[in-house]
Amino acid sequence: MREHIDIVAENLGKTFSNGTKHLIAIENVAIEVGRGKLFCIVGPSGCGKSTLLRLLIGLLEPTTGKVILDLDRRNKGIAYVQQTASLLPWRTVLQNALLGAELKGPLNSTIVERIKNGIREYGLAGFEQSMPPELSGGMRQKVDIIRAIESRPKILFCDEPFSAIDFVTRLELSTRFKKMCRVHGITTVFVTHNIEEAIFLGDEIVVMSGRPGRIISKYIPALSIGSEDAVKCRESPEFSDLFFKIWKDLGNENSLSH
Amino acid sequence: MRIASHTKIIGLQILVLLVLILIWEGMGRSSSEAFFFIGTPSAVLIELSNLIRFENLHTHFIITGGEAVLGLLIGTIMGSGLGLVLWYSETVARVARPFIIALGTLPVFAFAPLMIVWFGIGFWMKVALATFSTVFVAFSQAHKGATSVASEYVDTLLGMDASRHQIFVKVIIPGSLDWVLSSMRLNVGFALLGAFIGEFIAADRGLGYLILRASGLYNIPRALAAAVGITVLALILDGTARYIERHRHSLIQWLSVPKAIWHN
Repeated sequence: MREHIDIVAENLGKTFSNGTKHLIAIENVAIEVGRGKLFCIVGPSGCGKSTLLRLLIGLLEPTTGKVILDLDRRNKGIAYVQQTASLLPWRTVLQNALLGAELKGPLNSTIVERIKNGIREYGLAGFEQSMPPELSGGMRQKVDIIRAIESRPKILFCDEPFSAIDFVTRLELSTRFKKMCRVHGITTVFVTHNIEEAIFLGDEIVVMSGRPGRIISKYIPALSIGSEDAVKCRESPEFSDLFFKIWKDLGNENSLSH
Repeated sequence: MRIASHTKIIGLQILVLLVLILIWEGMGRSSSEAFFFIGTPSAVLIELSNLIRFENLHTHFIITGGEAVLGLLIGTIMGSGLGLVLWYSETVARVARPFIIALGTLPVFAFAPLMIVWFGIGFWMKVALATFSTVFVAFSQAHKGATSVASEYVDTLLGMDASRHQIFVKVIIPGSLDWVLSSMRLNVGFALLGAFIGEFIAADRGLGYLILRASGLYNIPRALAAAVGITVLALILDGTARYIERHRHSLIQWLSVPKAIWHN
């Protein structure tokens, strides 16, 4: 593993087999994610983004190739936010938010206070004792994000974590999320089908083709305005340039001209 | 559709019970043959009073209750424990399953003579039979619960690099608890049956013994009075199991959440 590289995937492929049927989900994927970088994967629905993420985490065994995570960083903590919030229904909001920290070792009052603050900052004050079924989908997703971020992981995997959240809240959350990743030096792999989200968040963006998923292009966004603000960044001329490039990569040239 | 109020339902249930008792009383009094075969509710009440006053019914009640409760507890702990632990290895679970199912299909009666050889004819033989009657249901329900816990919960913890043991404690045990508790309620009847069968085979005390002795003397009202004791026992055990089910959240907290954040 090269210095300052936390995640390496080489020639990665995954084929799902069911009897005589074989489905190639992704093939020949190679990526490198630098330390503390936000790495976004963009692609159409069903292109294998989530499969790629699960391969990187180790939840799936690759059919070809391999994934290497920096062992030291992995041992210091990883976290995973799924597309739909997977809060444990028998735990309160606070207990769910504390789960990541709880797995790392004994809890103390400093950690509990830190996570209570996180809950307040995400606009969930007063819901600490609520059970997950009492929350809306967006609120549950926020708790899932708090659980991941506040466990202070060194590597974070996110699978479209803002997809269930309304547009305005999503912009606020994206800004906060990017700031937290920067402040704590978290290496993040962020899967999304939202091009604008990827442009704002990503230090690097890879675009995947439809199934079987392959990487068809890579971009390094350099926003001249508002690179730390999900709203202001839209004033940046590079934002729309990159948007249209990725849009074309995804095969939407014709629909654009209409 | 309108649903009748709770009070109205209870009122109707009492009415049905009174009608049945009256019919029974009438039929029992219609002839001496009828009285011999079915007795009457009033005769059952008199026998119940006699059992309490002269036969120490409470002692028999406690003995049968003790056998059933211990059998239920041991069966639930052993069966559920094994069913949950087998989550760790799908291979071991698949190897063990046919053996456990085969043992579970054996009727309790078939094992009764062996239980006498192993445990004698005393209290522990009945406990063993009650355990045998409950352990397989507890096992299969707990294992089913453990394997049907939503995979996204497990994935979330795997995504945080949790160990197998942490996943077991934080997700599998609490996620299976509903299955374990419902099997315990189901097993109340089986535990009583096991204890009862044990008392039928060899006993000098217990509610089963009272029923057997009264039946041997063709004293049907007395046998039915002892059976009332069994019903009361079943209701108490079922009520206790329901109480635990209602308070399962506290049980989950105790089992899987660090004490420091129980009330946070």
